[in-house]
Amino acid sequence: MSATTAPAAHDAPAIDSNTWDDPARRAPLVTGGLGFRGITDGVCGVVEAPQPPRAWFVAFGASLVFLAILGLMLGYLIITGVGVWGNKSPVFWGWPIVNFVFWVGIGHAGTLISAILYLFRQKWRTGINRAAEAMTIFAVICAGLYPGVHIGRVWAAYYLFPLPNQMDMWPQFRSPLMWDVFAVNTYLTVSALFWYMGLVPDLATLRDRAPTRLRQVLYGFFALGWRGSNRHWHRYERAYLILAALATPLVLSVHSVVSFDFATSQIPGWHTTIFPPYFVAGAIFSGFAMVVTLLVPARKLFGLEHFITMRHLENMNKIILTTGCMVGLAYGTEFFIAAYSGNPLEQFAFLARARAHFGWAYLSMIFCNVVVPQLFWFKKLRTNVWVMFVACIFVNIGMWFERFVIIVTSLTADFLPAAWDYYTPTWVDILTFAGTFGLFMTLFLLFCRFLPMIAISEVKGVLPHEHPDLGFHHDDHGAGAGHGHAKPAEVTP
Amino acid sequence: MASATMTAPAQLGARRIDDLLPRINRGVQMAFVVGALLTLLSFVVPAFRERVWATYLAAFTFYLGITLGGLFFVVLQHLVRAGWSVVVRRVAEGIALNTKLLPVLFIPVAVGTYQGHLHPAAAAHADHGGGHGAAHAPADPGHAAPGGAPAPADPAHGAGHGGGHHAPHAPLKAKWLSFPWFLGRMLLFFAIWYGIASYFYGSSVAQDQDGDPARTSRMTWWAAPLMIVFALTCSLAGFDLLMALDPYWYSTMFGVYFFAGCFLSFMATLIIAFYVLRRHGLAWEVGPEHYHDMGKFMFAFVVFWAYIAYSQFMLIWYGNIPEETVWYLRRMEHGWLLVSAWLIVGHFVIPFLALLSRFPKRRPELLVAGSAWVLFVHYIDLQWLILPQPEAARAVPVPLLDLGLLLVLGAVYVRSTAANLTGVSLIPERDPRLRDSLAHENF
Repeated sequence: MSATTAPAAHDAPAIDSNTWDDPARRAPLVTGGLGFRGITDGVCGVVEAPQPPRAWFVAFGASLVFLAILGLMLGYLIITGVGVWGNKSPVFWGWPIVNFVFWVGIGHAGTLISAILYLFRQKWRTGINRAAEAMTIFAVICAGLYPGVHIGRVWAAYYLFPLPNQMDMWPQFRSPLMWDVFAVNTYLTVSALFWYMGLVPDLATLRDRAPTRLRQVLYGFFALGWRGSNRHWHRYERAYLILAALATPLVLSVHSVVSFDFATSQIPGWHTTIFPPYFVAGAIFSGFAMVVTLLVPARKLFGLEHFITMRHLENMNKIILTTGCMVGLAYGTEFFIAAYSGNPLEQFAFLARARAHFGWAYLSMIFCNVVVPQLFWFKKLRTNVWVMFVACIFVNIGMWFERFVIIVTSLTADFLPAAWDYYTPTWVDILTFAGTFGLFMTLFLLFCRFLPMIAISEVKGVLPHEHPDLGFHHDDHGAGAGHGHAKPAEVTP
Repeated sequence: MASATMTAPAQLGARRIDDLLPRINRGVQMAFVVGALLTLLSFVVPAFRERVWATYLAAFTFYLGITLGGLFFVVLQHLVRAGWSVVVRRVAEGIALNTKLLPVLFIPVAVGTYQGHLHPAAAAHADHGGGHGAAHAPADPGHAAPGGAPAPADPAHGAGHGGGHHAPHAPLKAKWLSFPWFLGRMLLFFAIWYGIASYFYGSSVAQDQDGDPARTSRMTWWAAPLMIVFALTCSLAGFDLLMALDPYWYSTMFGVYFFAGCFLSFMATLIIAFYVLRRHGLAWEVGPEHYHDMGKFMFAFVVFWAYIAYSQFMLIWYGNIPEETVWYLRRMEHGWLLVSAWLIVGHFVIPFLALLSRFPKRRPELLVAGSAWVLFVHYIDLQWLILPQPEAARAVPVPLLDLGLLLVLGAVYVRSTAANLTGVSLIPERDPRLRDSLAHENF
């Protein structure tokens, strides 16, 4: 860990390599020799710069265009009716539900990183958790849009919630669609809380450094009077742990409940018990792919390579490889059990998926989700930003196709052969989906510009000198005997 | 980049099991004798005798699960380059190495299957039906009428499989489930598992000698592909050993369910093992921080098991397709409903509440009690998976026989684990991450 360069944030010192595999030395998670000061400057500098980089404006402009398209499409939909979509018998769940599941899936990485990786003490998560959580919230917003407008009478969307009303009408509590409303809303609420709570100390930092009065007031308002006292930090740490513990089951529950939407039915290809964990694995897979897709350009654009280092990216690529294999295992299990079951309906559904009209979608799914991630077995490839950027886009495409394959192929050929039909989306479907990317990217770019993209205080907590015991320093091996912690552990009676 | 050779930290305490061996042997012999007596005693009652095969399968799967859990743990620790777990890894390696014992313990399962007491589809004389309750074996050409309702003598099956459109008689499936294929697959799995376990054990022990950190890198490298191999073999073994007890029933989740139980029972075993070692003055390096982490893992898998069990049940209940629900219906009759309800409480609610807080996880006496409980309910879970099948007389278990077989197999199992750990350090003393593990703290 040769910190050769001075801790100056803005003159871009050489990026140190921290992707080594020496088991005796933990790699540093912040490179460039940055200390506390350098971290604060580096992260706050993005927000405090008078002008964002030109590429930001270009991207923001493009996002706004797509956002406007989304607005137009939704307006058109509401004025005209759901008939403008390609949903028709037998595929009543077409693109809108595919896109809903796609976006909910994307929204799984953030909370996994901040909650589950926190419980597993994966310190590298600190470099990416803030941006990933933000992305989670924005993705869930995009997802939430679809059921809202899919119901047809958008003005009656509040019926989704169990509100007492004079007509004594209640949602169907036995329906997994209803559970979805609760699951996704809980997830959105807890994710947003988690994200905001983590932001508070960093907002206070921005407040204290604010170059203008307006910024000081605004950041100060949202910093909730944070002064960084010992008591504040103590409570913050407790709250973080509790929220992490509460958010952990949520990471699993949301996509499990989404999978129930399908698996509780009797449609072959939908009704299979492995769906909950399989959907969760797929969601994490797609979520991480989206994080990599966003952070690879973002770290370059905003000069955050010392915080989102190659090791962070490599670790994420390993998670993508792992979850990609899990998804592959689930595909295999489904096929195996379809063959094993001896149930001709199951067998038909799975063979039809692979061979009938939508075989191209199935093959795209297998290629993108199972074949492409195998690139990450090779260190050279998983530490190459171009390879990972392209591969992760493939994964995103593949995960979209997965939902398409599950939803559309099972519905096009269900129990009633007379009703079988091909499914084609309309231009409204396509433009609405493109529009949600506009919404997503607009929110994300605003986040990049106005909020600290890196959790400043958490990253400081994983600097090597915060953890002298954890083998960060390769020069002091064998000196353990003199350590406070290294005496034989005592057991509390 | 590679660091120099590792040395064992000076403060490591007693870490050899060798002096303890005579005492272990005495205990093992006693357990074996008591277990054998209990088993023989229960043979006196003819009704118990019928159940011996299924009970043996439960006991065998119990120890198989612990071993597979250990194997998974070892591979996982290398895969994620874990620091905290180095001090507990050697014992886990010793447990995982019991994969070499499994083929021996498997012999009665193979015999029982061959004779048609267990997996009906794999029974050698399935086509003779009759006496073995295997009348509806899919391998049976006599019953191969497409969609025919099998085994009219079996009301549970009649109800469940009257639907007609599933075809377990399909030649491919009959072949897959037939005895040679079943046996061949199991032997292949045992060989693979033994290969993985002995590789990690051997490398780790060799590192005690040479302190070469490159061994750790190599194990990390191998952990990734071997994890895939493990995942495939573990879930297929779950299908073969437990799911195929009802050759008609299938659930894609079943492999995950089996795995959840394996890892849970392993964590409980590991905690108990360290508690016992510590009582005898060994492996004092494993302190409250490590118990805390092992407890967390156990807690996590209590919840994971519940998640998988609930999802599987709920989806089948909700779908309400007869050929799937029959499996659960069988677990709701002949007194099994109580056991099913008990599993919710005993396998989830009680350990969940007991292990939720930090307090018990950092106190070995409490945690070991929790682990014993987890092992107990896990065994109940295995009985619940195995015994309600028609071939197993469907009745509620006989504690005497269960206890007897668990003791007999347990004695062999403990003896084998002790033998695996004899002559080696109980702590991977020159592991490059040992310092992480010794200094480990839960914040």
